[in-house]
This record gives sequence, C-alpha cells and structure tokens, in this order.
Amino acid sequence: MSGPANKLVFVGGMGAGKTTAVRAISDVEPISTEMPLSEDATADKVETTVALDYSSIELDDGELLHLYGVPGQRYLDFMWPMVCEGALGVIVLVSAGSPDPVATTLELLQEFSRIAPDASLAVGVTRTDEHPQLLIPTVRDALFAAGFRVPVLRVDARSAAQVTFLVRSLLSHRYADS
Amino acid sequence: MNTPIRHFRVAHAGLDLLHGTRLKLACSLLLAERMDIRLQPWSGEQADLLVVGGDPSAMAVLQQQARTQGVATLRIVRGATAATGVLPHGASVRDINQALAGLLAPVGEAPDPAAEQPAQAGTPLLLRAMQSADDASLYLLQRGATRVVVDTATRSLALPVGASLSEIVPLLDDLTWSSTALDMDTFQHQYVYLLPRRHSFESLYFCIARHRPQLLPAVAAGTSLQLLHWPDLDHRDVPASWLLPIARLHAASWTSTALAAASGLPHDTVQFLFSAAASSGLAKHQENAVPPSARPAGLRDSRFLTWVARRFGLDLQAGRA
Amino acid sequence: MSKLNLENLNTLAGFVGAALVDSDSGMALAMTGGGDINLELAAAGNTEVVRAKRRVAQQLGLSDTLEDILITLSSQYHLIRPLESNPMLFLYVALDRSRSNLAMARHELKSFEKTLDFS
Repeated sequence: MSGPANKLVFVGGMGAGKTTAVRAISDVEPISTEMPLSEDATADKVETTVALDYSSIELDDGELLHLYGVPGQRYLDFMWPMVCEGALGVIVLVSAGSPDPVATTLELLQEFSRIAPDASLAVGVTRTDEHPQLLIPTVRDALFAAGFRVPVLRVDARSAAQVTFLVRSLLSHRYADS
Repeated sequence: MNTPIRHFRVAHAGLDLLHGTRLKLACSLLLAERMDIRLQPWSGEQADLLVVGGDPSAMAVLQQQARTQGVATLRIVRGATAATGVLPHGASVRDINQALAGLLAPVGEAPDPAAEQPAQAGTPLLLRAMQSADDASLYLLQRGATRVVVDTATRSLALPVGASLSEIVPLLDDLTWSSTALDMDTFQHQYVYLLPRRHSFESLYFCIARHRPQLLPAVAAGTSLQLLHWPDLDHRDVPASWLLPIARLHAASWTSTALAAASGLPHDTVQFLFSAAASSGLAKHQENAVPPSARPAGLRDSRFLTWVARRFGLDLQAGRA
Repeated sequence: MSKLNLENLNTLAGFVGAALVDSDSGMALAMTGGGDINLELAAAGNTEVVRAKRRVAQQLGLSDTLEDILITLSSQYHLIRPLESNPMLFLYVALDRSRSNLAMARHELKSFEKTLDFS
C-alpha cells in the first residue's frame, strides 16, 4: 500500500453513536449512505438505516484524513475490509445500554484487529449517563482479559470535545506504541 | 492543600468602634488562609498578637506590657505610614487582614485544645473512605448540601446529576465533611435517585492530580513505573499535554525524570501523574527500567500522524529538542 | 471599643430606623429603631450602593464629593449620607414618607453628624 495510513474508522452497532461522532468532528456535514435495515428486506417496502458515513478533514499541506462511520452489524461486514484499508485507527463505539457491551466490543475488536492489523484500536463507551452502572474500568479489564490492551473511555458522541479527546487518546496511544 | 487550620489568640486594646469592627472582620477573613483567630480584650495575659490603638501614651504602656510577655504588637497610629507592626488610623479591613497574616504567619502552631481536631489530620475524609477495607462498602460523605457516596466494592463514586469531579476536588480537604456507613437498602431507597451518576475512583485520582495534586501520596523519586492499563480519564480534567506522557507510560516503564524530559512536561506534573497511577492501583513497578531511546524508525506514517494530531489539537512533538 | 449612640435621630419626623455603617467592612457600627427593616442587611447592601455611586462618579470624572444618596420607595425614604469627617462611614436613615420632611431631615443629619468624629 502506498502513502500513509490516512483513515480513521468509527465502528459501532445501531444506537452506538458512530454517525453522531463522525459528524461531531467533521468540518462539513458527512455524506451518509443508506442500507436496508434488516437482511430480510422485501423488494417493495424497505426500511433503511444509515450504513456508512463519510467525511474528510483537511490537514496541513492539503492532505486529507478520511473519516468513516461503519456499521458493526454482521450482515454488513462486507464493507469492513474496504473501509479499513489504510486505516490508522479504528474506534469501536458501544452503547452502555446495549445488552452485552463487552461481548459486542470484543467481537468487533477481534474482527478489526484481524482485518486492519496496522491500525491502532480504542473503545468509546457512549450513553454512560443513561446507564451509569456500567463502569469503564470494568469494560476495560474484561477486554484486557481477552487480550486487548487499549484505551477505553466514556464518550458522549454528540460532543466534539469528547470525541476529540477520544481521538487524541488513540493518536497518543499509536504514537507511543510505535 | 493538606494544611490543618492553625489557631491563634489575638488581643486588642484601645481601639475605637470603627477599628475594632474592622479588626473583627479582618480576623474572620483569615479563615480563608486556614487561620482561626480568637479575638479577646487584652488582659495582660499570653496572646499571639496584641492590636493596640488610641492615644500614644496609653499605647506606649500597653506596648511595654506586651513586650514583657513576649507578645508581638500591631499598632494603629494616627498619621503613621504603614510598616511592619504599624498601620495608619483609618486602615481598611484588607490592610488589617494583611498585617495580621504577616505578623502571625511565623508564629508556631499552637493547637487550641478546646477546638476539635480531626482524627487523622492529613488525608481528606473522602479519600480515606475510598481506601477503607472495612466490611461496610458504602459510605455517605456529606458537606453541607454536597453529597457523594463512596462504593468500595465497585471502586466508584455516586454523584448527583450535573456534578463534576472537578467541583468536588477543591472541597476535599475541608474539615466539615462527615462520613456515615450505608447499607445497600438505604442507598437504593434514599440515595440512588439523588446520586445517579457514577465515576470510577481512577477518574477521581487523575482529577486530583490535575487540581489538588498535593492531596495524593507522593511516589518516591527515582521510582520507575508503567501503567497497567489506560486510565479511565475524563476529558474535562486531562489536558491534551498529558496524553502523550500517559501513552508513553502505558507503552513502557519510565522514571519520572526521563518521562518529563521526553514529553516536555514539568517534572512535578509527571510526579503527580505517577501519584495518580499509584493511588488508582494502575502502577506496575519495574526495576531497571530502560528508558526507550529514540523512537524506532518503523512507523511509516509518523509525519502524517503528527499532522492528524495537530489537526486535533495534540502536539506529538512536545519534548523533542 | 465604646458604644455609639444614634438615639437622637429618633426625633426626626417620620423616623423608622438608622444605622452608622462602615463602607469598608460593610458592617453597621451602631443601629437604632428599624421597624421591619433588617438594619444589618441594609447596611451591607447600602455599602454596595455607595461603592457603586463612587465608582460611577470616578469614571465620569466628577470631582464633587458625594453628599448624600436618596432612595425613594413608595412608602419610605432611605437616605444615605457619608460623614464629612470620614467618608468611609455613612449614616443610613429610613423615614416614613407620609410623615417626613426631607429638607429638614438632611439639615438635622448634618448637625447630628458633627457630634460624631471618626477622623
């Protein structure tokens, strides 16, 4: 692969906040692509969900950082390798209200570490205000036990400051780990 | 700000109503400097300071009395210019306050036996509750209207909606906190709806490192340390300049001097990070830490990464010569 | 510290209450009467009024000294008068509007003030 890794990927299931997070740090409104909501969509009435968000951020020298918001649902997994090629970081977003946040996150970490071995990983837990019983160290320690030693932070996907903090953490982690 | 309150006795004589009133107020304002003043009329007995006014001949007599007792004096004299131990007539509350602070500061600590002493001066009550290994795992900490529940089982704090850790931290060493053990039922019925938010102990320790680092037990100089895990950080309490040192500490073991040099942070700040790491239980101590030398040249996107970082307000070049 | 006596002010027509206030500390050095007014609170509050007025005068470059400040309420007058001998102090007097005579009150306050010396 030529050129530097110039993509930052946010992946998460429905309600995890990936579209919101990408929008929060983009300079311009991201482009969103719709996909069928479920795998058994019928021809005439298809409910859609936003499947792919794309935005770019201009850096010094006119270079671009490409931002992707990618669904974590299995039936859309064909997208994953394409998006991850050239990714410097993959941020897994999970809602504290999802039925099994650790398992969901672990599955995605396992997949994406395999698909994008050169990318750095981080986890953002959203909606912790609504579900305060899920503590960050608990999630982090469980992921560590399964072999992933990565930054795990709480994040309100609507807040540019908080998403930026998560991105900065990932970038610092990547830089120090090299 | 781990200093206990110091108690003083200040005597007064010959002051008119105006200066007496201003002296009273000046004394009560000294509580902000952790000085508790008991004001009393001069009776020739032992005191830490005598404030004296009135006509010059009466003042001279009083001064002599004070001198024999070894008591310092603050004189309020008509037409005088302010100097150590002297204030002009009409001196303001602030002038008196500053003169008192200056004259009393060198006085040795004389604990007032009548005053309540904290059981363990030093560690704030809330931190002690967090470190307790008692059977009770829930503690209600109260200070006025402020309430926090410490849950040692989950190593978390329960806070009200909208309260942030950085609001609590400056209050930690206040002596008016009280601590009560709670049982789970009482907590569920009476407090959980008042204190629905949870923060981990870790996030509090790093918040303390930012706002009141003196409250954390210091880590011995020269200790080398690595972070077991990436800490649970709150974006409000961790400046961008801390992220790279934290990342380095996560990646490898460092001494504080080496990390300070590599990150361009003051050595003190790095010591505070070490303290927070140790208090949080995230410190992995390793002997013979080899501080990583120049970064391995393997990372092909290092320049691009620096640009990305800069776009996000992060300086990855900090500390480089 | 001697006590100060403001009782002679009771003779003012429409007298409700009075205080002698130190604007540096905001504290009342002496009080008399009061009716429904919390004189201590009024002392602290009016200290702010005096400070504000002085600040404005300073900003406007007025070289005049502040003689008094009159606050007209629906049923009362409140008169704030810094002492000539010590402008940091002021007399604060509340009068019932229907029974008072402002001109007389100002005149009597001026003479009463001469009995106080805080210079």
